[in-house]
Parts: sequence; C-alpha cells; structure tokens
Amino acid sequence: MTETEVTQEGLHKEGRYIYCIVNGHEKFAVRNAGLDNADVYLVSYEDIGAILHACPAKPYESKEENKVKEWLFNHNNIIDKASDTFGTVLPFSFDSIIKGDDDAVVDWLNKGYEELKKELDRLKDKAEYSVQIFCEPEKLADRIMAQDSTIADLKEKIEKMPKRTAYLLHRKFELKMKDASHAIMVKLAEEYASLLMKHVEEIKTVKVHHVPEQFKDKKLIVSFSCLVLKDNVKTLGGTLGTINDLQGYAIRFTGPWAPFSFTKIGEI
Amino acid sequence: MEPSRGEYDINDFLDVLLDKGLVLNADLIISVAGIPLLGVNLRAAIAGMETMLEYGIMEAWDKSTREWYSEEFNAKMEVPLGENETVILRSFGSIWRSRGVISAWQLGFWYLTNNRLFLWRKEPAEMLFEVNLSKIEKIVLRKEVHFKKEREELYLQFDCGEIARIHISSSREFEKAIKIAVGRDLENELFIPSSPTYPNDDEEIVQEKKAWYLFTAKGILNETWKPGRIYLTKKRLFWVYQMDNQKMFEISFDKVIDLKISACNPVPSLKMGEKLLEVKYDGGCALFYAKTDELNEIESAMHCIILEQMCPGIVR
Repeated sequence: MTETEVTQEGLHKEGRYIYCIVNGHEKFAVRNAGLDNADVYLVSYEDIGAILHACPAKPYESKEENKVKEWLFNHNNIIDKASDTFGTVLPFSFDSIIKGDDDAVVDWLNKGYEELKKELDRLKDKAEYSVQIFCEPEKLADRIMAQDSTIADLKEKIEKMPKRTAYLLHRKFELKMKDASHAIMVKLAEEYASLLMKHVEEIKTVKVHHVPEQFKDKKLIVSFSCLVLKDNVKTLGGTLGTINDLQGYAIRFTGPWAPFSFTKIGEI
Repeated sequence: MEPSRGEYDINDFLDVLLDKGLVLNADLIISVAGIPLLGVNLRAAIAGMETMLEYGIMEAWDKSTREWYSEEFNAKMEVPLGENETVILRSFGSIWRSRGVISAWQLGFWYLTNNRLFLWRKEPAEMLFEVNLSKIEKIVLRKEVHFKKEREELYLQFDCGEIARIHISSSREFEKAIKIAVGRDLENELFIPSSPTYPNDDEEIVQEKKAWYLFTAKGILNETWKPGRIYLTKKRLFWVYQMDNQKMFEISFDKVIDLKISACNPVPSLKMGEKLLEVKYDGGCALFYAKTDELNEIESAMHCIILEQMCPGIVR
C-alpha cells in the first residue's frame, strides 16, 4: 500500500491521532505500527509535518492496563521511528486526537506553524535523558552524623538507656534523622544539578514513581530530566561515571528520549 | 558511562509519556488527556493520583461524574424512601451541626417514616441526617433560646451515645409521633452536659494548649476533628471538647507506648503531610492537631514527664 492509499483509506474516519510534529518532509509511512496496528503517515505543511494515523474522533480508552501499556509502547515506538528519520521531534502526550481529516490537520499546522517551527528549531539536535542518583542509606547516615553532633550524641544516649525510655527517644532520633536527611538530600541535589549544568541545556528535577530492583536497597537522592545536545552526551556520561564510581553511590542514566519534558508550547 | 534504553527503561518512561509532551487545545480538537475511563484506570495505575490532579486529568472525569450525579438526582428528586417505607410526618426544621470551626443549623425537611427519622434537603439534594428508629434511646423536649427568642428543641440520644439537637416547627407533634413510631418506651431524661471548667482536679496542670482531636467513627458519625484543649498533668493527658467542656479523651502516661509528631496520612479535612501528634497506647492511637510549634511543645513536655517518671532526675 502506498502512502496515498493509506490516506485514502483513512478518509472516512473523522479523527487524527497525533504522535508528534517533525521538521522536514521526507517520506514517512509505517504500516500496522500505530495504536491497534493503525497505518501511520505524515501530513505536511510547508517544511513541517504531523505524524499521525486516522481514527474515529474519540479517545482511546481501555480498562485493561496491558492494553493501554501496549498503546503507550506503540506511541513511543512511532515517536522513536520519527526521530530516526527527522531528528528531534515535538512529542505529543498520549491520546491527543484532532477532530477532522487531513485537511483539518494541515489547517491546524498552518495556524500553529510559527510556534511549532520555532520550538522544533530550539530543540534541534537535543534529546531528553533521565538521570537518577542513588546512595546507600548508611552512607547518608554517616554523613549526617558527621555533620550534626547533637544527632550523634542522641544516638549514643539511646544506646545507654533503659529499653522503654530508649524507645521514645528513638522516635525523636528518627525524626531528627529524617529532617536532616531531607536537608542533606536537597543540598546534594543542588550540588549535582550545578555539576551537570555545564553538560546540559536544561535540567529539571522530577518525581519518580518506581525504582528498579537493582537500586531498591539504595536511597534515591534526586532524579533529573536533562535536555542534552547530542555532542554533549559523552561528557555528561563521563561526569556521571565519576559519581557512579564513588563508593556507595549509583547512577541510573537512560535515554535518549524525545524531549517530552522540555516542549514549551504546552497547548496548541 | 553510557545511557541505557532497555525495556525496563522504556517502561519507566511511560509515565513521562502520559504526563508530558504537547497537549491539544480543545477548540478544534476533541483533546484529550482528560478521558474519564482511560484516565482513571491507567493513570491511577501508572502515574498516581497526584500527577492526575496536577495535570488536570481528573477534571473532565470529575465534571462528567458530577453531571451524571446531578442527572441521576434530577430524575428522582423525590425523597429517597426504601421499599415499604411510608412517611408519617413531614415538617420543616433543622439540625445543629458543629464540624470543625463551623457550627450552624442545617436546614431541610424532617421526615418521620415507619423506619427512619431523617432530614432531607431538596436542592441540592442531600441527606443531611438520618437515623434508624431502632437506634433512638432517649428523647427530650427542651426550651432553648434561639436568636433571643425562646423555642422548643428536641434532643435525641442514640444507642452509640451521640446526642443530636434538632429543631422542628411542630416539635411536640413530632415528639409524640416519634415515640409512637419507635414503639418502645423512650427515656425522657437526658444528661445534657453543663460546662465544668478546667483545671478542676487537684492535679497540677503542667501544660494547656488548644488542639483538635480526631474522633473515631462511631455510630452514625464519621471520623471528625473536634476543637478543644489538651491538658497535661504529671500523670496523664486529657482532652476537653470545646462545645461542652467535657473530658472526651484521657490517658495515663504509663499507658503511653509511643509518642511522635508525624506527617499525616490521609485523615479527614487535613492536607497530606500536615503535622499531627500521635499518642499510641495499648489498643489504640489518639491523634491531635494544633499549630506545629504548639504540637512540638506538647510533645516535648510529654517526653519530659515520661522520662522523669521512668528515670527520676534525668530532666534538669
């Protein structure tokens, strides 16, 4: 099936599921690779375009987590493919659908052209990387004790006390430790951010929802999303490597991803 | 080190896929981060509620739920009655509610049926209060001053010990009807607490602070924060309810097994992470809420008392 045929077939469908916006008008058509094996193609306007597939004008929904995960993988997969062909793309959040046919998409690209183009240029040759810095809890505790003698004293006192009294005091100790480790983590996060700053274009701290098994016994100090120029990935990796080699520390460094966290248009 | 892109990494990145990236504007687009079903299931599974709310994903769901709710209720605006339930009496009235800082009369229509006594507000439709007749133990009609005028109010006490103070425009008629409908003799003497003052004990009060206390769910009441004062003596802690000045919680320090200030898990009306004082004792845990520095004061005073009890002379 040719690209035109794909479009023809989709004509009767009144929605377009958008994966991303790309710079350029190279041919792009992938059969059966979109959500639910949809045929994915490019709709161009001037020198930019939208990667999409035709679908009914209603959102994809499912109660089955696995189904949705599959969709999410498809979504990401198409964005990866598009990135291979066109370089950095503007990725869309999952389940973004334009009402209307290809003409509606062209019309919409036309309206948003300047903003989209500007953003594509800004993100050119950059990609998103995720960096998580872990540390052994004991390491952190040692640092805290070394810094704050009152906590160390309290610990010593507890060890000498009768058990029940010690229990209550222990609570106090734990609270103090918690506050102190929070403070030290904030401080460390700032230090690492400024350390990485010279290798990245932008850096953000992000929340992390799950931590892989291999890091489970460590404490997550900070998690960053970084926007990195292709040429700088090596030096960033180098700096992370030196932290990773420190005893008690571990780094998780993943990417490259499309710049999901750094597209600034927000709503188009 | 080299960045990795394994399957697990992609899996983790799915969060970002849901939260970030461009979103469409609603106008020409049916947009769509905010789809009810998908949103709820998936994002709850993957991203967690917080992110959902942060990104407005729940709004659409919330809106559609509310629409559905109001449709449902417009359809059956009549009073919700059970099968075989018939209304005996109906009259305009109110109930005295004191929830947190707000104390007020809630208005509606009182219904007495063969099963229940309830206060129903039509618009917006809500059941303000309801109780099964079998739970009523005492009923007392008392004259009270309401906005400088005297009127008759009913006090009902239920099997859980809770007392409801209600006003019904035809209170005498209701009183009679309730007694008949219940079909049992109801006590008509009710201890309506007068107001003792504290400290009234011979023990010395070491500390006194304003604090909220979390009443556990009991009978017809949900968990509720109630305002009052916390008192510490050398031997015990007790808490006095502001409304009636009664001691509602009391614990001797030698029963306390743990004491801490913690950030709260979900409890009614408080934001996650607000500081609470947790007093654990064998068989339970009492929660108090106050200004953070006052909580700290209470906690450290208690620590001192307990420590002093166990190791006399340790606190100087």
